[in-house]
Amino acid sequence: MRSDLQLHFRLYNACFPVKGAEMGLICDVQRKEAFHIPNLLVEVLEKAYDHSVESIKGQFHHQYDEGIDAYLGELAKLGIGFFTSQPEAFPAMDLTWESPLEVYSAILEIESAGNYDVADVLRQLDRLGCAGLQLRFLRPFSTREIGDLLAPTKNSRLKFIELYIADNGEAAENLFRLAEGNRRIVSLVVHSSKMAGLVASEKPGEPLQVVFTDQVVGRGQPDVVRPEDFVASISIITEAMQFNIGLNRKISVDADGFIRNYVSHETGFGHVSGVKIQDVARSAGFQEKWLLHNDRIEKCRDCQYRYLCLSNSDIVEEDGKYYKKDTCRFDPYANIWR
Amino acid sequence: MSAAIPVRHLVFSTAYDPSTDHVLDWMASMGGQFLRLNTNNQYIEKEDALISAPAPGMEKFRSIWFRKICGLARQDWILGDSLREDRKAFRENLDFFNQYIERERKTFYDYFYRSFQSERILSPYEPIQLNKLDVLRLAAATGMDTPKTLVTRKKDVLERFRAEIPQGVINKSIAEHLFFEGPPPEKNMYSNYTEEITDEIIREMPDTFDFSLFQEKLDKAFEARVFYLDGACYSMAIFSQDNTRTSLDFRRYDKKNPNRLANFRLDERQEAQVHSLMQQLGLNTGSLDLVRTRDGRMVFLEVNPAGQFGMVSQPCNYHLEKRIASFLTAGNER
Repeated sequence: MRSDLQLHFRLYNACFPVKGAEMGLICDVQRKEAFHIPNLLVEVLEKAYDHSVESIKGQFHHQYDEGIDAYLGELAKLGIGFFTSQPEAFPAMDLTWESPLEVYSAILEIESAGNYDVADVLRQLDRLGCAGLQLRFLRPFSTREIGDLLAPTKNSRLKFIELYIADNGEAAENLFRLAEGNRRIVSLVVHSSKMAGLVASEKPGEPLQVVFTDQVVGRGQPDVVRPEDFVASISIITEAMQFNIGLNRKISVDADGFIRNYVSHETGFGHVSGVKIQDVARSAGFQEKWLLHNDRIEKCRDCQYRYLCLSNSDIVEEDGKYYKKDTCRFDPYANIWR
Repeated sequence: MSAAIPVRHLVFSTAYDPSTDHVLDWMASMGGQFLRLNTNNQYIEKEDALISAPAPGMEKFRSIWFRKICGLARQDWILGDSLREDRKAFRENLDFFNQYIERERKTFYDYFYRSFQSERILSPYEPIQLNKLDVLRLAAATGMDTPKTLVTRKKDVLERFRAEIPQGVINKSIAEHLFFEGPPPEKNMYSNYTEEITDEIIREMPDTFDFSLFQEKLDKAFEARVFYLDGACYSMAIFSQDNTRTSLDFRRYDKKNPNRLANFRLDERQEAQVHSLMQQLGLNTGSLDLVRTRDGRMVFLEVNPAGQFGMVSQPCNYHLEKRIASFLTAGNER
């Protein structure tokens, strides 16, 4: 047995330490929890893959020996990490993120059937291997019309479809029947509704629910960043270290048929009747914002939630610095939500 | 003249298998043209068509991947309802009758799957049917640490085995675990698990019983799952000992307090043993289960030739789906 001097500390795979301006965070993407920790502990954990606990203490001139022991002991007790005398058996995880898909998901605003050729857009997205689709029906369409519009998705490579439907006065049962005929539908929201609440199917075993809300989904509906919407997986966190997770490999077509990074963004990349989605998706101009991840954006780079935040805000440049246009309520310098 | 798209790669899988989807996304991004056959999906018609009238260019594939082959499903069992004569005799022997049907199908399928030819086959069809006892003996011969194992029908033999192993013995299946669904409306799922065989249980056992496998109980520090692909090991440590419910067999998933995982690496000698074992088994891929004991042993338990790589790939970020796609396309599609 080796002596305790050679003891190393490892975080379990699902636990990522993140430094913030005021406060650090450990994101536990397996248990879907986050722990606030001092930034100094983040520094200790960042050194842990290359140095024994004793060596790390030395690097801090033995000023924090007691604190380091207490914190690491507590993390082990909480099941966040473990001590090992065999550091070579537990190598660090490779943090690169890769995807085979040129376009991961698309948002289509649909206001009237004539503004652009939805079926053609869906066929183009399928050829790109698009995995997810969100259709936002801004005005009431009948369930039958929606079903007809969705016809090209049936034998496509699409994996999931989310529908936001302006209340058409029909019963939820019609939507359940629509979903039965198209198993890719995973989410059904009826917006601009007089009622609010969840409706479950009368059929046993049907996992889908229809969400009714009085909220209106309009043109260029911006998303609001709230901590309760943070999502996390190893894939999301590693992607967020390299890409803007709100925008990367995502395509939006607004109600008039113009292609944008997100429906609320100012810059358009042509009308779907005139340009091919594939050409836009492969253009450097369209991909520019995919690469502007939170580590490259002022304020966000100091935020401990930066690898969890799906903000798809437009980004502006001033004097070589990038800023989000829709800023959130979190102040990382005071560590409070305002 | 319109030329048919050349199908270069063939994938046998089942419907709704996200791991297959993910690999095929990668193959598509590499320019690979593939045909996916879901073996649980109206398969008879497809097979019939393929055999009696093979499409041009489909006889030889650049690669074939036997990802998943679906066996005879319970809903496919013959219930004897439509029999007009001797209904009673058949219905009283339905299990026997269905075993006959299973053998008929298996003989046909063995012929059918072997008839697909390629220089590059991932998970060859033939060695997928491994005998766990053969594998254990082979692993030991390769130099791997294996658990003391006994197969017996006799209580007194078991008692002597137990007496030699102070830490205790466990019982598990000789072949595959059993899964079945109970009657409606509850439709409970039943399965057998690895269990400790205590002295009290042994005392209550009859003097003879059917062939059963007993193994020394290992004092686990953690389990290791090794996904082997074409000479390389991708390993993960699974920490389940803190939780008594999963301490013997982590298939009893505990959702509230999930097992913790960490990237793991076998030492060089152990990796060479894994490689040697897999070569002797004729497998170019598979999942291996090992246990690290508290006193430092690395004990080999078994090989699963159709291992779930997704459960190693995602938590360890090994990109196995891409590596499998690269293997199948041999990196030369584009």
